[in-house]
Amino acid sequence: MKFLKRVRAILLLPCVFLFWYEFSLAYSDTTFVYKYYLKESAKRLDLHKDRYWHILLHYSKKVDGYESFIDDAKFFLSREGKKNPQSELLETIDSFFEIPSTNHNDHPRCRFIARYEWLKEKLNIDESKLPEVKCSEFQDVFQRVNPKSASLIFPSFYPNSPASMFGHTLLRLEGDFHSSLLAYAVNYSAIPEDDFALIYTFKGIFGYYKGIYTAMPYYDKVREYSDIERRDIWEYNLNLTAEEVKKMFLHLWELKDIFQFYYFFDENCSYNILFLIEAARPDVNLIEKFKFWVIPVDTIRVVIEEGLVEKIVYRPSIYTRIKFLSSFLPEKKSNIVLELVNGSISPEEILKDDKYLTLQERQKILEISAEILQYKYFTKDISKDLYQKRYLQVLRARSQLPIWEEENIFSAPSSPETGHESARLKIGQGVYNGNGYLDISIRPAYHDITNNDRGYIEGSQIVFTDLHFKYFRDKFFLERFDLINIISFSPFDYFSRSLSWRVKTGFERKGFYFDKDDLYYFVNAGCGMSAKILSILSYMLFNGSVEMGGVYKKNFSGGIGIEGGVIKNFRNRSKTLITLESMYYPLGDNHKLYKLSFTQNFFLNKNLEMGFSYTRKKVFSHYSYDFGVLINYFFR
Amino acid sequence: MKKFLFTVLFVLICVNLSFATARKNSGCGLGAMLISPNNDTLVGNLAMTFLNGTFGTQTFGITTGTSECDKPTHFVKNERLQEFVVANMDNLAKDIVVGKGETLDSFAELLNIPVDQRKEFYAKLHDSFMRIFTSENIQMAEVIDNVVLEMTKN
Repeated sequence: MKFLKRVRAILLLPCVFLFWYEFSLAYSDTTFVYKYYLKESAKRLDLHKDRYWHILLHYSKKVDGYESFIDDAKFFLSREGKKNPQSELLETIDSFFEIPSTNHNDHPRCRFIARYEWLKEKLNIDESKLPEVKCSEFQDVFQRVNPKSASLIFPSFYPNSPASMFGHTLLRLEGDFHSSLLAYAVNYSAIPEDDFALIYTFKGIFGYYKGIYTAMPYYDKVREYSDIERRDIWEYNLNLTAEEVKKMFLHLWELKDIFQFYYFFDENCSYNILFLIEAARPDVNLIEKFKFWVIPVDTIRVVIEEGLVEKIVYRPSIYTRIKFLSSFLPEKKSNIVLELVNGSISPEEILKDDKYLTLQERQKILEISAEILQYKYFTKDISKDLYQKRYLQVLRARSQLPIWEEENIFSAPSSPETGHESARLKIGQGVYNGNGYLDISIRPAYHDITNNDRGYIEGSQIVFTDLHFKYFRDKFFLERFDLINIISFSPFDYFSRSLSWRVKTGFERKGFYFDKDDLYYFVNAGCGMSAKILSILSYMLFNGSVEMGGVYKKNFSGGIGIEGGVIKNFRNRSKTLITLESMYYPLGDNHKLYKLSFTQNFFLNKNLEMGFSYTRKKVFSHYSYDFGVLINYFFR
Repeated sequence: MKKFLFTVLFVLICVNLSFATARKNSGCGLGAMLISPNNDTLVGNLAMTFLNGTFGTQTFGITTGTSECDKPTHFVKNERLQEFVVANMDNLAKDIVVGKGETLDSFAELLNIPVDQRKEFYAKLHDSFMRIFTSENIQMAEVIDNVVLEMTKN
């Protein structure tokens, strides 16, 4: 092959001389030769097959060649660039020779600076033979960010939003500053266009939104997650060298203002961040570890497995900080904090009160109040004017007490990647009204209320597409299919009263397995409250349900009901759950439902659980019981 | 029909369909930080699942700008310091009275205070808090100038 290419080059040489004359007036002859030489070298070296070229262009291997994940035509210099790595490479080399317009920053060598730097190295490009280009915009931003090291950032889950349980990852680029607040965050996210939530959801899943990379000061992101959304943040410091981080930044610059359609399940934030890490260190394979869906915490696991993580840092949220500071205060004195926050006592009164309150208590009461005022301002419980006034009053009072010398040491909970894997296979065996059955269920994501909470948030559940089959002696069938089943039990605190709620939708059966018992579609939502007393989480919900299907004579039934339960977690070794539920369906097919269930689950290791459950139920006039043992196995 | 409407209403109790106002920075003083969209509702929560969303469409906000704010007489050229104080004034005030914290460390770093002088610097800020944060309507420029004034006092 190489020989043929050389022969071709020699044969083409006369053409080169011919063009020499043609171009001598318009364009320098040596330029043309040099361009030709570079392209031939690139072909000879098969650079279009190089892994780094594929990383830079986000190519993935398809059955019939390659295709880039990027959807923005601006990203490709060749018209076939999205699917043709070679043609893109040759056009890219061509473009380096373009005479720059007045704005050099739009020149391909500035726009696609990582490609240029890489090709310059691979082909030994002599810059003096190219037109002079000054990438001032890039230089400005590069100097300002001055990236020397990088971290992968995982804002954890926040109370009352299991939605956030799915997680999110971003990157942080650190410069010479010691304080990480002064670093920059790099984020990939969808640009929402509508403000109707259900349309959001739909469009987010099916790729109707454009996703782009954004960069901003890290302190803005810390405030967004840590203060406003009350999410603890986990920072995974990467062991990338300054040289590698520079390569990452060059590639990030190429992606500036370039869009790609955002798909919630795979081409999401976490997936796209992986390209930047690969651009920094091409020896690691991250992208190809993911096939069907990308769950943010899984990307962290992979990054750790590839040996990229040096250190893990925990950054407590405002919620965690309030709880931590409150632990210095006897419970009976915590109402003073609330009185201070709502203005029924003044900060000066706290200062004067040295009989009932110790110095430390006065310090802490004022500090907690300041945090809670911020918290209330973020949740829009108080107006800006009132906030500014009270916040400053509290701080002024605090400034009259001495500095608290000891450091605040937060005991970090288990980090998210230490939790069980995201996908689950459940196998069970049981007896239903005297009939033995086998149970099998498969669920790609993510965590349910009976699972081990290590690395997850207690009292929450987020289940996507749980397929549940049952096998009796003579029949095998889909018993239920949960599309979404989300629970959030966030217990009342002295400083916050958040709602507990659940929403689920999918297909299920009434459970008369041997009579007419077709699948029907259901939507069920409930809200209520929960509290944690003596380490037992108790909850109560008011539920509403709409069910549609041929199993009902009128094809639907709708009702309301009440449900209560208790959950006890025994040090992440086992969990007990007891629930009691009653539903009254006045609409469509009039009927009632009563249900009692008891579940006991033992956590054998990170990815293996074993348990049993008992359910007693009455629907219409049909009584049933169900006793089963089960094994949960988590995997990726 | 009445019963049906009743049930539907019930299901929607936790569901507030009005959704998402964009986040924005407002002002140069206390409470000027980003405010979240109103997503504390059920549907809001669900929608957030599917977006991991950023609100506001600025792409490379490497500099956040302080053009709407008055300039301090000191550190006029230190854009980064000014931006930081605008965006973090509330936490800075809190760290000053407590006498420590990451925001305070960042502030000291931006002012080029050597590490071995930080403790003294923090103590001084703590003691002069009333003279730095003179009113609840204080703005970034005054905060910086007041800090400089306090530091140059003996």
